[in-house]
Amino acid sequence: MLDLFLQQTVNGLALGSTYALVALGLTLIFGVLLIPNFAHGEFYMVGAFLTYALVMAGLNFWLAMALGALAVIALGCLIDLVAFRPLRGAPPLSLMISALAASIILQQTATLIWTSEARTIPTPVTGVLRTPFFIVTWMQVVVMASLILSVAAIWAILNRTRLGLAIRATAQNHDAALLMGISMVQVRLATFAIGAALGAIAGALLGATFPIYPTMGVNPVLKAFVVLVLGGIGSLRGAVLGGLFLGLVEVMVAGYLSTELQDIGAFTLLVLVLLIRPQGFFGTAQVER
Amino acid sequence: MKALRMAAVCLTALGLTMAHAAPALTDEILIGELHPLTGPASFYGIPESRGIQLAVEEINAAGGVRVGDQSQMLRLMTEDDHSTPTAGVAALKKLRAADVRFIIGPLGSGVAPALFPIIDRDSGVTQIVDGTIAEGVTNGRNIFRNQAAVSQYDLAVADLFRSKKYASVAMMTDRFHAGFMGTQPALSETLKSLNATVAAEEYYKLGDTDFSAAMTKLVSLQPEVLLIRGYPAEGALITRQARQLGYEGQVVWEMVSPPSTVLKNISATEMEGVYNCIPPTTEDYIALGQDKALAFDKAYQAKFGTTPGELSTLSYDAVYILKAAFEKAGSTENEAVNAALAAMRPEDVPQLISGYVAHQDGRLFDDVGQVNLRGAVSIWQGEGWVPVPDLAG
Amino acid sequence: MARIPHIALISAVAFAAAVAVATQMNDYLLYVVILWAIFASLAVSFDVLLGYTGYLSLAHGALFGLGAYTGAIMTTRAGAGFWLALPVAGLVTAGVAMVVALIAFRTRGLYFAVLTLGIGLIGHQMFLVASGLTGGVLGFAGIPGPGVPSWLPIDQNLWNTCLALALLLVTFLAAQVFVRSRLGAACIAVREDMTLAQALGIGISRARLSAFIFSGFFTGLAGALFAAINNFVAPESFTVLGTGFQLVALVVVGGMGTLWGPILGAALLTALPEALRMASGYSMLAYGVLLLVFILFAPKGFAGLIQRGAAVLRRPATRKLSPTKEGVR
Repeated sequence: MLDLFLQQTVNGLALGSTYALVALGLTLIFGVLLIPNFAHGEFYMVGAFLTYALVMAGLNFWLAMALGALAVIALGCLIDLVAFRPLRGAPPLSLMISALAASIILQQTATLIWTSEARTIPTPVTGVLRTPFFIVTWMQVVVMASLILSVAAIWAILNRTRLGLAIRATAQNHDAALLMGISMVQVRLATFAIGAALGAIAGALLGATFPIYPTMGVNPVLKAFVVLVLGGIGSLRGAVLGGLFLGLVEVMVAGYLSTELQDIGAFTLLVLVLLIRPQGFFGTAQVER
Repeated sequence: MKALRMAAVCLTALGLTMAHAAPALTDEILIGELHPLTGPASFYGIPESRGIQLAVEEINAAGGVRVGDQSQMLRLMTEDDHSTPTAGVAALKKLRAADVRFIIGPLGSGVAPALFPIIDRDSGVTQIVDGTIAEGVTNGRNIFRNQAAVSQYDLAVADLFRSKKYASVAMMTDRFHAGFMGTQPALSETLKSLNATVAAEEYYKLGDTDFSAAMTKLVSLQPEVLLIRGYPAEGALITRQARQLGYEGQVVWEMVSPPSTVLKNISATEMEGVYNCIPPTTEDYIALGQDKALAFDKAYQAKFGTTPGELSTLSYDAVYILKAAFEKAGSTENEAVNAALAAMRPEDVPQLISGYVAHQDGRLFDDVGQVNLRGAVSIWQGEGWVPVPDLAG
Repeated sequence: MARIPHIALISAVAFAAAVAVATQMNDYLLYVVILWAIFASLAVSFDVLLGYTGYLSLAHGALFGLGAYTGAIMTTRAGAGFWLALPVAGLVTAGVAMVVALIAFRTRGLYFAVLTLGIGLIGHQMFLVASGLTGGVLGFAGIPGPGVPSWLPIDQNLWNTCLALALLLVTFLAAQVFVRSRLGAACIAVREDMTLAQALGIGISRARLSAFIFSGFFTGLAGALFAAINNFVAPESFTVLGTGFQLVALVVVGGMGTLWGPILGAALLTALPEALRMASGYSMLAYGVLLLVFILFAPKGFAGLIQRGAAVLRRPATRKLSPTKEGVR
């Protein structure tokens, strides 16, 4: 019984780290630029498809992932240029619709190029780690390690570089940052580049475990928004812990209650958390009466 | 308020722009086809639509359909149902407004039940369902189906359990699939009556990627069989995750799963020894070297530059069934065609690729309009499915 | 602002004109008009919430489904007639909307949107899981349609169209009355500056709660009518991604906070996929591009374009003040 529980906990953490990995890029772009970027799911999808195409062309997986991420950075900046930058200062709702439109366009273009057939990237890391208490695949270990690396890298960029300082300043107060002479173009570009790269890396890694198809980004991005709100908008710590928490809850509900209730359980949790803490775990309070 | 005037203007404009389609010429028979050509289901829908196009072209090139003593050409109208009920109903109404009286489709288990009440009470239209396997979408009066019903898939599962005498089973069913969900209780009962303990009935949904919770539970129960009912992308993933977590029993699939798609999602070694319980599909007939299937494959590749989909042959067959019905009825009146369909025997349509078995009274369709396309057990060996002949019985 | 009797008169004329046009249409066009009218009713009542209070709810796809299933259960299991089931569906949905609102209004901004998204997803999942009541994924079949009164010499499809248009008329007029009431004025105050509104002693809680309940009631009516006309409903029609976001798109493309803009938005976004049927394969792509073009070049939607056009046409005339500031809290 206990080792079953341990196994389920490991399952939950493995699932949660996939949620957190997708949520990282989303929370960064939202936290800094206030864009609810639904097209993040498509960064994830395009990253997966490009990696797949390059691996099928004979490239090494990690090289393919890096090239894919570069291409998605370019795509991210293009989307920003076309869909978001013209809407500077527009209400969040317009940005959301714009993001939705971008997301539909990318999905449909991907369908035209790759059709909607599901496929999986050949796993670069095979095999299973068997311990006396639980089993975990090496690929899951890689995903968890990538999560830790990504968080460390973002933290280093935000806290140890001038660019990071500019990004943080923008996130705190856009107008003041502008007055301080911070180049918004640079901040936007950097934020989108990092966010898109994170999405692409998540896509490549998860595409090696899950099937990839043009609408594969839709559910993860919904979950990522839930993670975002659970953890508190714009909080990296919140994104990681929120993701792990959501993964654990889903697995526990599916494992101990019913697989049919997995989604209902996860979203009921969301509602309950927001009832108790309307700003999420790590968000700043803005409760009203 | 100006808005309201505008609304009225728009409404009129709408009426004008979407004017009636050109009526059929007298020596033409309009055939409407309804399949998902966009969205996730288009992977299955487009090859069905192409199967129909191919059959229509072949028939027309060979001189059309002999109705009485005159030849008539077939004209195809293609509509996209997006695999959603609302778009499907709109598409059906559009075909009906263009005076289409013969319809092939749909694919989606969610679309067919939405069309059913409309077609069921419309004596001016005849439908052949070539895609969905959901129960209860035919009536044997003006709605027929040349695709298997899920319950016929389930027969093969029962065959397998009967012959292997499995003692326990865990079921994983796609709960977004109306067809599989529809027969879930009945199949569960059947397996119990074959002395198999149903250790767990778990569900997942299309697009799910993590099955670890259910698989961990499954491994702790170690049932002899893991039965997966749904689509191959998830089927492959469930199979893989179950093995990774240490499941050692027999994996049985109940799903349309062409080897080409399967191998894009799981390695051949991981699939070795998995059973599948469905009627043969396009790739199986081609693999078996059936002449008509080979010719179909060749023509399809020449025309579309890609291999046919697993359901393409069903759609192709549906057109020839309609053609045979027109010729037998000597008329294109729906009432006569319906009667011809109801009385049709498999040998009346020599072009059929799928291996339909006549019902006991010799007819192709039974009283509710269902063909006999029984599921068969096959096993994964090497790079694809291989029939297991000695099981059926 | 125009007066209610004035609006009522013009609306009634437009309704009569629409019915007159409808009599000339074939069944397919009638069905497109029905879809338009039902989604326009949804969009108008949704605009009362989104356009006048600024709160973005993604739970309305599920509320639409609740109305549909309530209507379906009433007419099949409970043996009620359509005309009883319709208001009951509206009231039940309004009741549930009230509970949802009481929970959701503890938050604002993106938190509100995501919280209601969660509730919308729970609702959609409940339709699947509670298969004893709803038929689950197999759908709810055999819902009786709204019978044509025996004294009317028209067929079922035309009657369905008349009902859908009538629902739109009623929803539109009710919304006009609502936004002109004290509650409606308070809603605008909520949207414009909540802190100021609070300081002035405006009852913001009551205002936004009533806007949510108002939209819930008419969403329920639309759901019940949708179910009766189709004779069949399935959970697929009530997803957050499909219906929930679709409603937002209808209102934004039409023009938020105008009430009549969303009617045009619904017309555009219902007719477009139908008009693009021949371009199958590219139709969704075109839909995405259109959405993007609209949000970039006509941020105030269809309504904004028309108002600007009208202003250009009669430049000397004084411009009427209309709600302008958009924004989500």
